[in-house]
Amino acid sequence: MTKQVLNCLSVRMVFTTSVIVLSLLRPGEAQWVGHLMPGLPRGADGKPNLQAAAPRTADGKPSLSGVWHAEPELGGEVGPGGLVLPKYMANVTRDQPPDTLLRPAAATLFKARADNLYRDSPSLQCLPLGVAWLDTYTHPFKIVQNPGLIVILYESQTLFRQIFMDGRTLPDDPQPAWLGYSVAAWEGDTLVVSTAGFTDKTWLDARGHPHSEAMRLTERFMRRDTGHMDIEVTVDDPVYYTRPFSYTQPHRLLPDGELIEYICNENNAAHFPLVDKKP
Amino acid sequence: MNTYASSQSPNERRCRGRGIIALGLMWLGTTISLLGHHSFAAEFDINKPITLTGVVTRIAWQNPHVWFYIDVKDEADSITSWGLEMGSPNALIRAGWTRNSMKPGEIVTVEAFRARDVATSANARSVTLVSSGKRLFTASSAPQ
Repeated sequence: MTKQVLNCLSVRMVFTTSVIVLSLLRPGEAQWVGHLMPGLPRGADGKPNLQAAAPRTADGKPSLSGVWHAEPELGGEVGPGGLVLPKYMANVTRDQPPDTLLRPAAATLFKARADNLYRDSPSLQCLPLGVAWLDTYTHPFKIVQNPGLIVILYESQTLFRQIFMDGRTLPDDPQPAWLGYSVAAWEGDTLVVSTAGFTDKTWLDARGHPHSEAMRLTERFMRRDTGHMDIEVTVDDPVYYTRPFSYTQPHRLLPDGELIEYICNENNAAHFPLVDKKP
Repeated sequence: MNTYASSQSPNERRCRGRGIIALGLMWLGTTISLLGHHSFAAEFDINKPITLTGVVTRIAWQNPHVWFYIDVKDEADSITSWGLEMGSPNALIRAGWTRNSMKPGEIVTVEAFRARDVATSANARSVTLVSSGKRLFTASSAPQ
């Protein structure tokens, strides 16, 4: 294949997938048709003003409430389904020096997952992807912000997550949990969420970067304006990584969108093996 | 407490532009399951595209993947039933589908990738309704 052909292929791929992304990210028209999100700043034509200042709650803090999804990376990697992937969905270490970050045990596990064609992915088993992967995943999530408690409803696997702001601290000896245990505090207009107590069964990303039960995650939620929010994630796992590392995944609001349930296990058993998959 | 060893390696740089091509090719080569639910590479063969035209016999609107079935007639008028996988209902809904977008009895043309282990299964990447010419993407795990 010539270079020109490759260029054409790539351009076509990006174009096509961009169209698909746009169509995929429309509000769920088949669900709650025409339902307008209350409180969203709008222009005279009724369209949401996504560049308006971020809304605030009664206590003056930014309101993070809304349906969000990780933003596809402009000109980024094309993944299965033709989607342009969010920047860190495939690889949370992409900005890091690759040769020194993973300790040998992590590198071994990482390679084994690739060699196995990712068959042991929690996604494939309809299990929770884990907080880090959910922060970069294409399925949207909904933040419900209340005083003392922020709830995140994840469309992926139809999960809930509670982030406590009632003064409690992280548990000393937690039973490992798929989404860990989360507490948060405001630093100015940034919500800083600390999470620990993870099971090691989840992956950090689609390529299978592993983590141990000792991992601590820090997520810094920064709503830039009505339509845009950054989540800066810091992975701190001295068992598997030689140093903490961070990345910032941009998110977009899905104005007037809504979550759609995703009950993955409805017929997942039929996937193993494929010959038995036909329902 | 910091139990990490220090690292002095230079930061990895990614080549934009050409990097898109390289990554696209890398992806085509490995076809790992980045999106949705399953391991495309383990189940389907990116190197075996197929186009099928047939009559829809059944649609299973279900998670984690919607499946539909078509009867395909060959030159000798022999009919083969094919099972075709699409994305999950939530992804299909956002792509404009409903469970009534394609009805039994309708003639469709499907672009798909064949399964590795089952001769009459494939992963559909687009469906065209022959009656209207309308083309629907399938939110599949295959590249478009």
